[in-house]
Amino acid sequence: MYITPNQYSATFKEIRRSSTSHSTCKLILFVSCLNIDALCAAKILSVLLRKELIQYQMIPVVGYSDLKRHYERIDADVTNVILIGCGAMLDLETFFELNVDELLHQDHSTENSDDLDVNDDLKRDPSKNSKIKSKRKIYIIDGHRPWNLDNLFGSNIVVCFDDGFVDANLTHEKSSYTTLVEKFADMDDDEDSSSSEEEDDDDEEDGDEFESEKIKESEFDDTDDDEEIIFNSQDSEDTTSRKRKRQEHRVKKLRKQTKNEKSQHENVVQNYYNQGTTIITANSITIYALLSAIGETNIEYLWLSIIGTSSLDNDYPNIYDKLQPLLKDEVLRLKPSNNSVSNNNGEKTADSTTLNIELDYHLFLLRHWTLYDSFFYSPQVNAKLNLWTEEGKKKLHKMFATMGVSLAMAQQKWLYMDVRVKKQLPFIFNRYLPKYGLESIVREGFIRTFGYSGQLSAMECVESLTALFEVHKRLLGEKMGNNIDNNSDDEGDDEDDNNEGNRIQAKIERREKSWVNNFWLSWDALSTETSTINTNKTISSNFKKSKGFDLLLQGLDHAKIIQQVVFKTGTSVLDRKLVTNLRLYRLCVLDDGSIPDLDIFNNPLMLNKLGSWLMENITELYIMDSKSSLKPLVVASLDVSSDTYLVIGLAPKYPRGMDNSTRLRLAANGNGNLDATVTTRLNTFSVAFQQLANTSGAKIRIDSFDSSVIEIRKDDLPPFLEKLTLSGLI
Amino acid sequence: MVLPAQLQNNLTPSEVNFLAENELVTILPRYTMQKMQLIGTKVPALRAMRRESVPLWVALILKSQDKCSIIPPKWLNVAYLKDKYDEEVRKPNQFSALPWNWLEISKMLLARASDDLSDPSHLLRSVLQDLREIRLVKSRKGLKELNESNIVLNGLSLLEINELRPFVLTVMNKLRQLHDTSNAQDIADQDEYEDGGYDDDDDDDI
Repeated sequence: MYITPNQYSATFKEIRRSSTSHSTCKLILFVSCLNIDALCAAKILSVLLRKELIQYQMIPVVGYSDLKRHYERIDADVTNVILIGCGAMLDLETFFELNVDELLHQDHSTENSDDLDVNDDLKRDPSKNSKIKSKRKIYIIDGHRPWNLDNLFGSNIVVCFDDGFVDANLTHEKSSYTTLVEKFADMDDDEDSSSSEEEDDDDEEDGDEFESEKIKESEFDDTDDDEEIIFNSQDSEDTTSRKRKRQEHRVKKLRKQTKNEKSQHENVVQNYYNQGTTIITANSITIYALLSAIGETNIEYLWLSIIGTSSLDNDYPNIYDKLQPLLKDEVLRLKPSNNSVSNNNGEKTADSTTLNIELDYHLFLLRHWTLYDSFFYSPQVNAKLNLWTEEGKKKLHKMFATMGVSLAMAQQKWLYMDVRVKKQLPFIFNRYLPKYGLESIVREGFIRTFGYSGQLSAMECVESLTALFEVHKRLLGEKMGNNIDNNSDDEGDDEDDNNEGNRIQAKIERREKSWVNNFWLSWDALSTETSTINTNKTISSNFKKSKGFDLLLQGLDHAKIIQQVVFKTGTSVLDRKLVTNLRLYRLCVLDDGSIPDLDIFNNPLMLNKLGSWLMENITELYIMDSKSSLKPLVVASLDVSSDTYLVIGLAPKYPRGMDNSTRLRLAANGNGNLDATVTTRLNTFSVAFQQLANTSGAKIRIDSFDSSVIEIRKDDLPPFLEKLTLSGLI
Repeated sequence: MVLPAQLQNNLTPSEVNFLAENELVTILPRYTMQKMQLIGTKVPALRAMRRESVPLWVALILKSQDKCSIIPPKWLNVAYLKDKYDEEVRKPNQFSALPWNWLEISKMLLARASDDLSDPSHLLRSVLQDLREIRLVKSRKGLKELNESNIVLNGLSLLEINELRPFVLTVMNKLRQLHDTSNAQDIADQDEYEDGGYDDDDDDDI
């Protein structure tokens, strides 16, 4: 079932009521691992639960198999499971093999009224007479769409947090789904009754039965011959047989009609699923809406929601644009305005952790780097100026010259740059940059001060957290020598090399474990205490584990390195023309030997970054040639050790800053029969990959929550790509 | 209880902190709550928006759950503390009268309930730090006055006394022993003098 925002607070109270327990943990949170939005949402939820003194357990999961494995291990008396960032597109009842009857039981008892809970401070609810109480409920907070209709309409155990989309847009699918479910039941009854018709004598009971069936079916029928055929015992033999023949005829016609209806409804549902996947909303915003419903909003939660929403800006800028005004209103509303603070307006104190709205630049990490570097490595600037070519670089220099900023000054660290120049920058940008197509570099952003330690904008936080997710020991090793835990490497040598399956499995497990580690690393970065903890673990070095703000700064350094790597790889790919332009999509295969740092791209996030960088650059190159500009992109990177390719499919992205009317024109030009209302493109690879995985014989592993990321064995890649082109699913 | 030697005569600062949590403070609850009978104390019934006084530890728990706001004690504001500071400066041989557990309570409230305090926390922190330092200087200076029989500690808080206690106790003990032995020596000398005889052997025994 699904709930709308007005029901959020009731749902939360229900969760709270059924999860409080003095002895065991009754609430489990599964969080999607490589997803900043899910991380922020989980963080907000965890702080909230801690305040309410509710025990919970948080488990980061990497993929579907991981999720299933953990699910099977949870206790029998867990009453609530919350999935964040995953699970919307999957039929959970069949996936988890839930025994529905076991989990629902009739319960007419009233609430136990002598709960001596400290938390039962609100007015006691009148004792609930819930007829059907579930022993366990599964809540889904996920922005991925399309929803799985079984989760939405078909299940009492699964509760989907929806933002009103279902009621507004999915009524057609809802009716199709419900009729399909009922029809299926009806089809069985129908066949039973018609077969019994042929066997039994003319009996009035049968007639009645048939009539009742008819009445049910007559809802869907628009037949004109609604005569009732009643068998009278006075009828002669002839009339009876004639009547029976007519009945059989009618039965057959009705059955055919119902079959057509059924396939019609099935088509509706199938089309809904085949649209392709996308993300419609941020999980953090859903949780923030929940908080507003229960009245517990404050600056900390708001900051985390802002970070979560900003993380979607890279791939889905429309969501961010839609939600940014709301967040801005919230910031203005929650700004602390008591007397003590208003005394030092504009003064920074050591304790101030305020959230402000100021001018922010869309350049990559401007405030923590040099002006030149942040221009050089911003993906947007890269694309518009074609910075991977020599003339692009010259253009950049010329641009600096027109702006009146000398190259020497641009290469100073931002912190030490001339204050006058810094103050002038917004105006300079607004005047000169549109000439190069770089509008909207300056816009409003959210900035948080951390006392005297520094300031961070939400976008920078997102970059830092992404970098922490992508932490790779090779990159770390370059910076910090060999301080890193090398235990995992030694495990591999003990494996039996002949057993390839085992080896790959071990590699996969190790990789997933490192992702979970990165998750907890980013978690620490978001915590607001900035204490440093000395860990004297097996890593014998002075590797101080830092928390909070310091970790964010480390992440920023890391982000710089990663961006440079992406830029280097991207330029070499474009230089060597490794991107082949096929009819339906573009393909880029990263093989060993042509790309340095190849094993960094085993992380889907990194590959995604590279892919979107390539896509932006290529879209700019071909912007004039409208026929071929909007093609999706498939990027494959080879994992040398396990001989598999990690393949991701990316939906085409409109160049940033293009408004809706130009987008429509572009879409209409490129593909004449396309629905002109499409202003964002859906990722159809997820559907295509899944179908191909089932039909082709290739060894494919689809495990990630976003099924446009797959792993495929090396030799199976070319035939797979062929089938992809031929399947017509893109 | 068998504690190691250095812990036996003294409280650790965390213990002092714990004891200070029992202090009653006034809170302004946001929700209504029924009264609870706990082992040592009882939490009275809380009506929303009606002031009530509860032990500090209860107040801090409720505060961390966002269920109340704490009313700062009367002495925890910049003006009062600044006054006390000036008093300390004016009277270099005396300590000003501060509450028994001002250090612990102010630290806890600053850490957990800083938004309820009437002044910005950085100003408060600096005044508190000044007070602490000047009293520390005074108590160090006062160590010069240590004798074997008495010591005057008017106006010091438990935590500050706790700091001095190990050192002062051992020193005073030693001084007392020396005093006793020197007293005994004087008495012996006087006896000798009255007796008139002078026995060299007796002197060696001492």
